[in-house]
Amino acid sequence: MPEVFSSSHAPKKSSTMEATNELLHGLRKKRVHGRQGHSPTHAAPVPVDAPKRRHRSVDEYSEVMSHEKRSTNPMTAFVPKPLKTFFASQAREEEIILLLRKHPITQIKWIVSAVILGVLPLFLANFELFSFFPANYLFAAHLGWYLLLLGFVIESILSWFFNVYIITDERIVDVDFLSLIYRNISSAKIDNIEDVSAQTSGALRSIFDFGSVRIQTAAEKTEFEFEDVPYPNKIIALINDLLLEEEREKIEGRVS
Amino acid sequence: MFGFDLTTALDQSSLILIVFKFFFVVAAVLYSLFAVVVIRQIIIMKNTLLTSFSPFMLVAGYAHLLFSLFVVLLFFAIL
Repeated sequence: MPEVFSSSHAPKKSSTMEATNELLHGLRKKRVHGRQGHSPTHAAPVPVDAPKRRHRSVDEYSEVMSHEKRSTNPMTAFVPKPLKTFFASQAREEEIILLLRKHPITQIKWIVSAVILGVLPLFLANFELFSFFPANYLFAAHLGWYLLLLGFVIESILSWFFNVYIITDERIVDVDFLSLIYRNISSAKIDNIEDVSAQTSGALRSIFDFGSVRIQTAAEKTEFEFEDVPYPNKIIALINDLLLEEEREKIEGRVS
Repeated sequence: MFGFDLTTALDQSSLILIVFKFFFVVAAVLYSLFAVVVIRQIIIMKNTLLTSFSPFMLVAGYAHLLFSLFVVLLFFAIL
């Protein structure tokens, strides 16, 4: 047999290549079935004694995430594969892949406001506008002012820290705390994602590489918007990888 | 201009100062209630998203409440 036909000389396939080929093969099969008018219920049943394939970790199928290290710092805006982080309604097998907050540069508005409000009493003291008040009342007024400022700063930090967007291996979650007592948690399964787009507009967003990611879904909430999150292109790449993996799981029968 | 000098009024009668003291104390008490609501909010947020930093947020909330209570007492004492 000529060497060129010998299978022993064939190039060795990588696991990603194999998975992609399987996926394409599965999609082709689905299309042919659709054209021939087959309903999905008539598809060949998966043998009961078939070996159950394991759930793959995100590093195995997502190139973006394979380059990211596990984050131990929860005080950042881009937290890949966070450690010791959990959210309400998280399933036991569900793994948080990416936790996002607004880019820190978007918080500059309240930080500058707090600094200005902090130095304002010192500035006004030069003009002696309230010098007719006794000293203890002036001290109390200063203390009250800084107490209010402390409340404003705490509220702003809480709002930034707990308003998060979470991408797990099963779904996307949007956690909103709009006011002191209002909480809203929306989620959509990865299967339900229909369209993903990123918007980066303005000089500041281009310089610091942040923007908004819009995700159209077929879930109850039809649109998710991750506002002013860092690295929108990485997020889109990750969601595309997750969509592909979901398709692979369906084809390979790894759906839990 | 209107025959009313605030400095003299404050010196002569403490009634205006008592009104101011009432104002300050009521504002500080309301602020303490706000601090309690903040703690409640942190607990709800912590239950929604638990990270390794969330307990520190709760400690900061309690410190904030203690400080606001201290301010209420201080207003009673110095005004």
